[in-house]
Amino acid sequence: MKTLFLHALVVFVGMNIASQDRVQAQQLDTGLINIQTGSVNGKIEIKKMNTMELPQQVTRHHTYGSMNMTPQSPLTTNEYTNMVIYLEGQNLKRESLHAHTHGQIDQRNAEFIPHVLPVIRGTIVDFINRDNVYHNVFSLSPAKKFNIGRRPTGQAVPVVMDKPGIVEVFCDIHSNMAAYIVVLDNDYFAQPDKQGNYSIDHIPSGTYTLKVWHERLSTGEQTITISPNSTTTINFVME
Amino acid sequence: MKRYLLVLVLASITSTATAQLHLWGIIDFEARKGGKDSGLEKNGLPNEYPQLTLQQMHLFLDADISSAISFTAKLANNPAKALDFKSLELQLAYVTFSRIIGDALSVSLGRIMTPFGTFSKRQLPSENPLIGQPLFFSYAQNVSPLTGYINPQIAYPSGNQYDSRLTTIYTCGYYTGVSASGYFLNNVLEYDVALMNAPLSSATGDYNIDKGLAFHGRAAFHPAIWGTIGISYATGSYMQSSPNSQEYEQEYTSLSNFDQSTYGVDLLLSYLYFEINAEYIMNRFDAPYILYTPANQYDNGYGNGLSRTLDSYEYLIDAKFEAPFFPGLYLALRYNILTFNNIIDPRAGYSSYYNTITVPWDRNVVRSAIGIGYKPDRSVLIKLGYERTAVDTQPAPDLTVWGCAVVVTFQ
Repeated sequence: MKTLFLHALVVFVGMNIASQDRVQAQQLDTGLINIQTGSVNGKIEIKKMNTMELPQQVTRHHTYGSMNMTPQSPLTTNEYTNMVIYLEGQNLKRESLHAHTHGQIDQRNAEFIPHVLPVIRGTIVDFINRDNVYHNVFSLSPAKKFNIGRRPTGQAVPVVMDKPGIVEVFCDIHSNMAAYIVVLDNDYFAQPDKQGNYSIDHIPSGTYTLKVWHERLSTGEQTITISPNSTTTINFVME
Repeated sequence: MKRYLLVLVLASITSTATAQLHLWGIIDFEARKGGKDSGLEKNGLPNEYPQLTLQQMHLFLDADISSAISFTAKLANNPAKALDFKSLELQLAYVTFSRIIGDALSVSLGRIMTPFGTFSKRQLPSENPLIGQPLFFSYAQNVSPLTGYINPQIAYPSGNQYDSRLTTIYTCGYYTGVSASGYFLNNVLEYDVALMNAPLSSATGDYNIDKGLAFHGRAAFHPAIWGTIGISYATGSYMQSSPNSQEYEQEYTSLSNFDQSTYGVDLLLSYLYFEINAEYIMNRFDAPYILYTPANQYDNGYGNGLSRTLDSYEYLIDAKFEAPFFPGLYLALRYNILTFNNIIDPRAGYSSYYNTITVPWDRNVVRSAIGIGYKPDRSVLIKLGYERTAVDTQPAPDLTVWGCAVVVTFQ
């Protein structure tokens, strides 16, 4: 009886918290809560322009099972779109609004698509094999260790990203394949366009750290102050 | 032919000056205990242990010259020899022209890996789930490129050139030549054929280029995503003429008339966390029987000149199971049998009494192995293995080996 009561209490409290989150989300979306916000935008420039032309990885000595599958056009990769720019700060925790949403990484033509996927903590990332050969997707990153094994074409395998950090994803069969999941504590992030322009909106006023991540370039970092109803411009030069 | 190949390879190396270069490599550091001092070169069984060695080193250069042309080179040591600078070899150096006719044709030329079977393409210590190699890669049989069949009852002095023995597939699996590969019907059918300068058992076969090229090939069928069936075939002259064989060739036949012919079937089955690789190989050496006296004089007696058909049959099963809830951890098993046919007793030339007696031309071998591996990081693989080799000799030697390998991939 006591156990039953405790279970009921836990369920009630959980539902109440979830309900509060939903109400807060609706209020935010409809503007009922008057939080003063601002924006940050700017342009990221890569100093070494040769980096722009680098393929994600040069084709390696082939292995059994790879079946000549190489990325179709590795030379056309745009490195700007493989960047993630995000904010860190104490009062930016909004993960409950987006927990249990889904992200997706496909394996197509022996490539992970997208190559870089920023998500908020708690997101479920579905890995789907779109090729007619096996992939063996795994990660040994401290932020998330998993091995989904060899999966048939079309089958989605969900993996919950429950810790912030960089999750490096590889294929044990095709050593060229690599993807990066950037798991963040909040949803104030963006990926630049092909020219390196970015914008993050609806940021509560305050002082934060703005960071830029790229798999090979050094991390860019700058302290910024967001004022209500204003836009701050921050440019980065990455090396 | 060889010069043309070299010119093409060198031209491509020059082109890599403007290409996207990628340098990477693998180091295999091993500690082993067990075994019996039985001489690797003589019979392919492990030398006496314990050992603490830098067992293998592979340095790769990959260059995408354009979207359709790439260059690959590998500098590595022969795993059958101790690792030092003298044992480093340019084991791969080839240019690949990809998708010449869509998926149906890509061409590689230079020093390339044999398409025969599957193990040569998964032999790297980072890909081989166990510590040892299959017998067709490591067991040196009673057949020599200089003298043909080696009568095990005749003991050549240690290090004698006529005592050099062959494995079914050359230990490193590389040869110089041209290969064509491709696939059809949305990956259902795959082929890879090559004309090489050497037969399957030897990479140092430049001697036979004027006697005809060797053929190595494999075709594979993928009926479903979980399975692949392949068939392989290789043939080529494997004997090496030398000043000392002139007398034999004048009396009997040219050594280039002796071929190695090898047939193989391979099967790959995999699903979720299981993978099974199986191979069956039937190999035939058409072999002369040439004896030399210690003074390198051709001995005209004792059964010389009688050619023999030396057949061997090999079965290999590799199984690997990955731990689903412990990423990076796996268990691997290997079962490997190598058997030999019977031939007329080598003493038949000495006395007709032996004409009716047949004996196996080498010792049958059974090797079983078990190992676990763990990847704490994508670039590091730690392997623990146990290997037991049983040989048809009495008393049976102790050929158990325990080993630990740390394999680091750097880039």
